[in-house]
Amino acid sequence: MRSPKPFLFAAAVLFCAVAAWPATFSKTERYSKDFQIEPDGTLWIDNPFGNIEIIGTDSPVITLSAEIALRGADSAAVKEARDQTQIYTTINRQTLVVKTATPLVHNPRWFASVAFTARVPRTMQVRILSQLSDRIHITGTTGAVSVKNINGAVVLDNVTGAASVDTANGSIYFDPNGRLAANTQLQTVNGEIQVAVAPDAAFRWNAQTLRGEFRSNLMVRGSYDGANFRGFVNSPRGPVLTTIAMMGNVVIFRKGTPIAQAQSVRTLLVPQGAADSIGPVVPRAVQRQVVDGNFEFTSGLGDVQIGQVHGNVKITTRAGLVQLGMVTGQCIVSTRGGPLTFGDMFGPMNARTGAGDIVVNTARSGGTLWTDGGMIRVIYAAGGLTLHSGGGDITVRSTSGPVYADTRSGDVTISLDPGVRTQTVVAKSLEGNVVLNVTPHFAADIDATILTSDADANSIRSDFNGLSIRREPAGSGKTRIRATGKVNGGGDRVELYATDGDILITGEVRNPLVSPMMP
Amino acid sequence: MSECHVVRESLPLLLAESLDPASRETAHRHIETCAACGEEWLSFKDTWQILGALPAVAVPARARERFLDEVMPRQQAVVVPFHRRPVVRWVAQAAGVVLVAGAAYFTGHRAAPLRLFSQPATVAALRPLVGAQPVYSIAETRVLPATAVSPNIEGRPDIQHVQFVDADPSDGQIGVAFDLTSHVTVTGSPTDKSMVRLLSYVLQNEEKTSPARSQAIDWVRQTYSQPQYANTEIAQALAGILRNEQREGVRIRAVDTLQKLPARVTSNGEVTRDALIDALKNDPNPSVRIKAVEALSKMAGSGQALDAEAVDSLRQKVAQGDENLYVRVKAAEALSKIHQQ
Repeated sequence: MRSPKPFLFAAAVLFCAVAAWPATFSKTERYSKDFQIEPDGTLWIDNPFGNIEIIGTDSPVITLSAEIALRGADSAAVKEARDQTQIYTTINRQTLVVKTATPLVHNPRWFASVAFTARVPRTMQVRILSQLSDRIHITGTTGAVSVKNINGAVVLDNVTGAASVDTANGSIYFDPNGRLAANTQLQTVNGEIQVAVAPDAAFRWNAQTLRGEFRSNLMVRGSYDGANFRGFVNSPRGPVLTTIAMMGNVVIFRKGTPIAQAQSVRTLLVPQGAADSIGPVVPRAVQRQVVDGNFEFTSGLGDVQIGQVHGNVKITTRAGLVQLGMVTGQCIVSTRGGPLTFGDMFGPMNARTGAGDIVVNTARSGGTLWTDGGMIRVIYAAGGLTLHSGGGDITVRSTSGPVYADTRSGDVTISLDPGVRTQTVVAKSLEGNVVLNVTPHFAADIDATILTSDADANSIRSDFNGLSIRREPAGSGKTRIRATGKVNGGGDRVELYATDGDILITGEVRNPLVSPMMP
Repeated sequence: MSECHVVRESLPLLLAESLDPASRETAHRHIETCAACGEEWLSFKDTWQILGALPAVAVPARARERFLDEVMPRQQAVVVPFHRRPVVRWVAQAAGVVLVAGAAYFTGHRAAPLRLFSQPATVAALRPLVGAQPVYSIAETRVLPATAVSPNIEGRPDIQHVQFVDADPSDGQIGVAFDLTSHVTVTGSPTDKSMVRLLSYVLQNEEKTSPARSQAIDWVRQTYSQPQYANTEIAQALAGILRNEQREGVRIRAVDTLQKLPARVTSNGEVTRDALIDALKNDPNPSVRIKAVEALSKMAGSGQALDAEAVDSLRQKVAQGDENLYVRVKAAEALSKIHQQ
């Protein structure tokens, strides 16, 4: 009897082979074609997905090669990919247009990309439009070059004509083969820019960044204007190089030298030893669990996230969110833009943002909260609050202290702690409702006013007796509705004001809001 | 043949949704522009609705037997082979066509002035329509005789905008017009189409600012931010507020809610995406712009494709020198989330 081992072995090999077979189906097609247009004509390539390589040559002929790569979950998906991916060319004496037609949003079961390689007369102009790729590479051309994409590096190598690159997330590498010969604009949002030039290259340099830095190992002169730099390399004459890297660095370095040799332009601009005069280099973001002692932080741009600060806090940023879990001392925060989130604040607060919401869990000593646009929400406060929003709701869930709140547009809702018998409240909305929630025993001198263009639509409603309401014309077709009076014998001043909104004063029995536990 | 004539002939088919799309579109366009045909169309719809509300009454067994006996005299126990009878069938079809045409003519001319002859009528009893689908229309204008209104007013209904009407002082009749909003509670799943429509209506059609509207937006945020209740129509209603609302405070609430909805909902519709892009570009309130760019960022991060306009808007926002720095940074972050396929 023959041993079954060879059969079992073959079966095992087959099983492993099947198991190792890729889960996706793929197919590659290659095409190549020659075109002839004027040597100073333009080649347009619009290719959403895939790499592009342009090589300048001395031949008068354009040789275009395309490799269509199709991937799918099964053969039907591959077929669908092929059907929906087409290459079109249009040609005249001056222009060759190559376009890949494929839907940007399609069945996720397939993916198609087209990699182009074009050998072109070096004097030709090149225009490229792309969405996603690994790399767009242009080399050896003297005509103007323009590239726009979203993802993927853009490499211009030995490109001596005017160049314009605009990418969202890709980095840009530019080598003009020595001296910069024509105006060049390189722009990326999230990538970096590297430019390699000859040591004696001379050009004017305009640069801009939000979060990045400018570095060089060449002789750079110029000045900063906020995040912008205007200056020159080696000589104030020559073509203009514009580099805009919003979130990344820009490095201009001598070709052939390590890029690490490049120094911050800020330090290159000032005399040796005086670098501190232009301000310390601060970390861009801070993230800590605990800070023992006072915490002071100044940054141009950066987020601050700290769990606990056992001391006072002073934070100033141009933009960035601030999150503080607990602060035992005074808290002063100022940012020109970004949301502010506070946990348990023991000391008085003074927080301001140019844009964004402010949320405070507990303000035990009260404070001032100010946003030029955004919502303010205070869960619990024990001290006096001054709240201002340039547009957005203001909500105080429970407070025992006086409240001064105003918003340009939005609702103001203030709930006083059930234990409060009387308290000063001033709440104004220039475009919204004002709601005051108190207990039935709350005593106050109330002055509530609505200025409205529709007297039937807006009203003052109160759960308390003793208010006298009167209406009077206020000019410009508006009506003033005013309710005044003492409730429960009178008390502290409550002044409520709403434009084109309702005023609601409720007196309901409520359970006190439990404030967060002391640490 | 005039267009009106053609359209009127096709009204029954339009009502039965049997017209081809092109003819349907043509008919609707004409109805929108022609007052007479529009009136005819409303008349058709009313009739159709009334017919739909009629109960399906079973034929009494005795009447059925008598009818069958008359049209099909009982045969002896003989099996008669069935033969196709095309002539009878043709006649039946023709009769059917005549019947439908007659009904359509009658229905179509229901709005025309009728000459009525006085004839005493008595109503023996009114019975509820058992088995018929209840129709509760939220937008109705009714004229009721006072005798049809119960003198017992219960439940303190919210009667608003009361007007007194006396069209003919000499006839001894007066009218009291008002908006009556009875307390209605509509219950159902958050995903019920009626519920979604009702909430969309409430969100978009509340003209005045009221605490109730703010609460409505908050409530929508709490409910529809849960993935299982995610709904495109709700997102579009919020987008409508974001685009059309004058008050910044309300727009902030709307975009804040949009931002908290699952990304697949906000990106599943040009209306929402366009509203977010528009808000990012043009809204004067920086908080609205921040939340709009965060919503777009969420869409990009979830793998949803952003169209070229959205990408360009984000690029422009990053480069806009006079924009709040935080908004610019957030726009850059949103762009960075557009990932490779």
